[in-house]
Amino acid sequence: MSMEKFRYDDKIVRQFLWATTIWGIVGMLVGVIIAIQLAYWPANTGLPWLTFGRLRPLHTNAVIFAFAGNSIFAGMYYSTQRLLKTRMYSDTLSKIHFWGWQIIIVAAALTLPLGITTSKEYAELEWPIDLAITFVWVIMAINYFGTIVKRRERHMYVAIWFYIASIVTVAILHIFNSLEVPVSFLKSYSVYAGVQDALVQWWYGHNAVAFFLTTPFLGLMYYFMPKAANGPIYSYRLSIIHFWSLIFLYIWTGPHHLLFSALPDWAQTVGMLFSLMLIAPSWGGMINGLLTLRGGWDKLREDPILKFLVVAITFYGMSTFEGPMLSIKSLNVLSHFSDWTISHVHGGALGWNGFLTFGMIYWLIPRLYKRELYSKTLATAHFWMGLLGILIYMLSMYISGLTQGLMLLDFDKDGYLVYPNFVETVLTVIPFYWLRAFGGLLYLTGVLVMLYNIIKTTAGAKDLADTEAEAAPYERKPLTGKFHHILEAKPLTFTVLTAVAILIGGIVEIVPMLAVESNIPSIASVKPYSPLELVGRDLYIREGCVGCHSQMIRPLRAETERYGTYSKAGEFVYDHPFLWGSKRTGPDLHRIGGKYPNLWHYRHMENPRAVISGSIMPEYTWLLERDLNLKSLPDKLKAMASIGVPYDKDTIASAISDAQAQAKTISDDLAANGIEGSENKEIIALIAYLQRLGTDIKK
Amino acid sequence: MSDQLNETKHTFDGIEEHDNPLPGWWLGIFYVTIALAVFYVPYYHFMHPEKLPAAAWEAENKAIAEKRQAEAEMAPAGPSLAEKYEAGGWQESAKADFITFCSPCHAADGGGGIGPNFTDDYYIHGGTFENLVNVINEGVPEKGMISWKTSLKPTQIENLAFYVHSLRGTTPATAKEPQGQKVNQNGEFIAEETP
Ligand code: HEC
Ligand code: HEC
Repeated sequence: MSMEKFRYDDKIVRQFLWATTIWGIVGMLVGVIIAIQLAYWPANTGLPWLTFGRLRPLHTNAVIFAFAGNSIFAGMYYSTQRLLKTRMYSDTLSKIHFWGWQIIIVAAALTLPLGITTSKEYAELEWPIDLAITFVWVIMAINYFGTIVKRRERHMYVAIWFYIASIVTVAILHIFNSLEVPVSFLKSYSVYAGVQDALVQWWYGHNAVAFFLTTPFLGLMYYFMPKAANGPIYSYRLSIIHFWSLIFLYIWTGPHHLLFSALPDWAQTVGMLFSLMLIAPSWGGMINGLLTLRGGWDKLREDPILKFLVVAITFYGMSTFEGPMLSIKSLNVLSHFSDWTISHVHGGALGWNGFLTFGMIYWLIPRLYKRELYSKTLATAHFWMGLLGILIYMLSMYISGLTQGLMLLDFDKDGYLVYPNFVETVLTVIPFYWLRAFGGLLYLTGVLVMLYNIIKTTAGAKDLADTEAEAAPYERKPLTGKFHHILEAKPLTFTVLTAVAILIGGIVEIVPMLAVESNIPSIASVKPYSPLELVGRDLYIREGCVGCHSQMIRPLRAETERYGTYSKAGEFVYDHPFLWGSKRTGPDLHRIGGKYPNLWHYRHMENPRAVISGSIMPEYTWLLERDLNLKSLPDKLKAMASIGVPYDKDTIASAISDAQAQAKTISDDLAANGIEGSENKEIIALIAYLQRLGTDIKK
Repeated sequence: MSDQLNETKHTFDGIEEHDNPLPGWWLGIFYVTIALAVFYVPYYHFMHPEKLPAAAWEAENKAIAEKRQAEAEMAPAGPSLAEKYEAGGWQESAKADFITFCSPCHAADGGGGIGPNFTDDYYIHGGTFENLVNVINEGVPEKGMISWKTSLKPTQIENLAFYVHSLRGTTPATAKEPQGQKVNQNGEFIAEETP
């Protein structure tokens, strides 16, 4: 057989590797900053773009899409070329992919602190950036499938299956969750409202975890683990079973983020049960990865790379067990909205995604720069700092979540809340917020040690030529063997089957929610927001209040006693987007309307500690100073009307004057209490919105 | 190693795959979780819909309301509010509750702010113990006074009423102007005098 000679594109891998390192440091640094802000509120600095609400999405987006994203691309480009024995399809497309992705990240880093956000978690970026993501993703997909087409290796290894599933599913998730009507260049409204928006969002949100943070990393694991351990994968048939069951089941689990919410019970049950069924498929990956080392466990003692990989896989196993447990309704009562969830995601992010990435970087850097690693000792030090950091982080958040969760649910023997004062529960966990910040800082320091190590390793490296390889040409002879073995040689069929597997769950859950009215019983007294309230709502979105406040009172006595009657599906039909939130650092706000006088809100937003001693909420003084912008109101109402909110022509025409009139009633009330000159300030719109929340149902 | 090898004997970029059977315990977990789903759905959604969240919430509330009512009916007529006030013992805990829950609006020394001043002789809703207990229980939601009956216990609320009463005649750091109507020693309105 004649062999063909060719070269792998190594430069693109090096670029993605540096990108993941740099963005990882940035994302984690923002994480440490917001951790400190929760422990010590003055760290919010009083500058709008540095407050917790705006930085939190920057942190999540940076670590998911910039750190994990670039890591995936690095590993995927490296391993795919070698597994398929070919260079990437097009160097140009690779370059567009790389630079396009970095530009998107920079755009995110600029817009999020400015408060330009859709507020949907991990999908906060506004519509022009959404379009850019779609474009770059399609470019990558063309490049990827082009590479598969020109492969020399006929069969696709399991890593490739996972990459294919990721590329296809993320595209579908991103497009359907980002459907929005633009109001202006940097503002849009989700086409879905309330319950529907929540369901689509968490179908997306959970599967961002699945198809961005799990399946691509399993792909990386299937390549780098046997490479680093120099051992065989444990079981091919386990690969098959766990691959298909994982991608089929994962897509159904989104509703476990909405247990006890206004989502219909049947959908909640589906979310819980599919999450439990996911334990075995997830652990299939763990078994295959860990048992690669069977017979060679002693290698762990010396090799920092294996240490990173093995611990990563262990955290994967832990997270994929804890996740289904947290999906059990009775446990979710306690854990949801609490720091326990934060502990859980960081086990996955820092342990699984982070450590797998570091292991991969330490393995790749010497190979891509043809240099020995500068210091194995430093790499080992990084490992221990990272591991300790994760453990401190997770334990502190676990204790904090458990403590605060139990306090919030606690009743005395006569059936009265033991801790009616929310802030008391917050103050109890502040020491753990400090501890968490320390754990995060330790982890970040470890990454800085890695940065130093790889700078030292690569500085002055001269031999950067692409690796030369040779392989037999693609041979088209009749396929034999078992069904799946044949399927592995048919990428198109394989991709179509993958798409079918991941579409079923989404369709079964989402279509009835959009089409069957009984899922969202309507409430006659629920009316659209007034123009001024809508402006206030947009300010709420801009400031990222949703990062600390939920608007979803669960049907639990502990919540209805504290906040008022539980939230009904019909109350959210005009909420484009929904703002139910996922974390309660502050109390629920769904029934805040009418609870306090306007003056209270004014004082509270100016300085929360003026009315609630010990509050950790940031100050929002700029809302008292900035002028209200009502100019875009008609456009906002028109956009809302186009997606079914019943604003008629007259309402749209008189939107600005209506808003001014409503603003005057509030500012008059404030003036009667000694606050002058507030009628055209942003705070008025925010107060109008807060005073409206959850009140329609009482009419 | 006694591994079962992959019959294709194919390697990818040097990576070997063995083909060991699926571990029994692993299959066990998978089957159990699937079986759980099969039982869970009929159990909760068809046989016991009363255990689903909203229905369970309603039942729990009803049970507690009934229990409280029964207890109230059974309870022997205790001392009157005035007797409890005289008996004392409430000062410390009431003061602490007042600082936590009431001071944001009425000021720590009762001088008033967002809410009215408690140190003067004027009340909007009356100054008898019954008036005070009632307004603290029910609140005046449209005017921004919170209803406290779900978050504070009946005794806490009574004690707060005593504490509010005891603030009358003290001198606060800054006193809000009087609101409402003047009351007599017992807290009953004196109709003719308005500030
Ligand atoms: C860092 C987290 C955080 C952010 C961000 C935040 N809050 Fe808060 N919020 C809290 C905490 C903690 C409390 C409870 C203590 C208090 O009342 O100040 C609270 C309380 C509140 C309350 C009173 C609720 C009640 O029932 O007493 C309102 C209203 C409120 N926040 C509105 C907002 C708005 C509007 C924004 C956005 C502009 C916002 N918050 C942003 C943490 C936050
Ligand atoms: C959010 C602000 C706020 C808080 C907190 C608050 N109040 Fe009030 N309170 C008010 C307002 C405003 C009024 C006046 C209501 C009206 O105008 O009818 C009021 C009225 C009252 C009155 C009636 C006074 C009168 O003149 O008739 C009493 C008694 C009272 N509050 C007690 C309390 C107690 C006790 C607490 C703590 C458990 C408390 N309040 C907490 C705002 C508040």
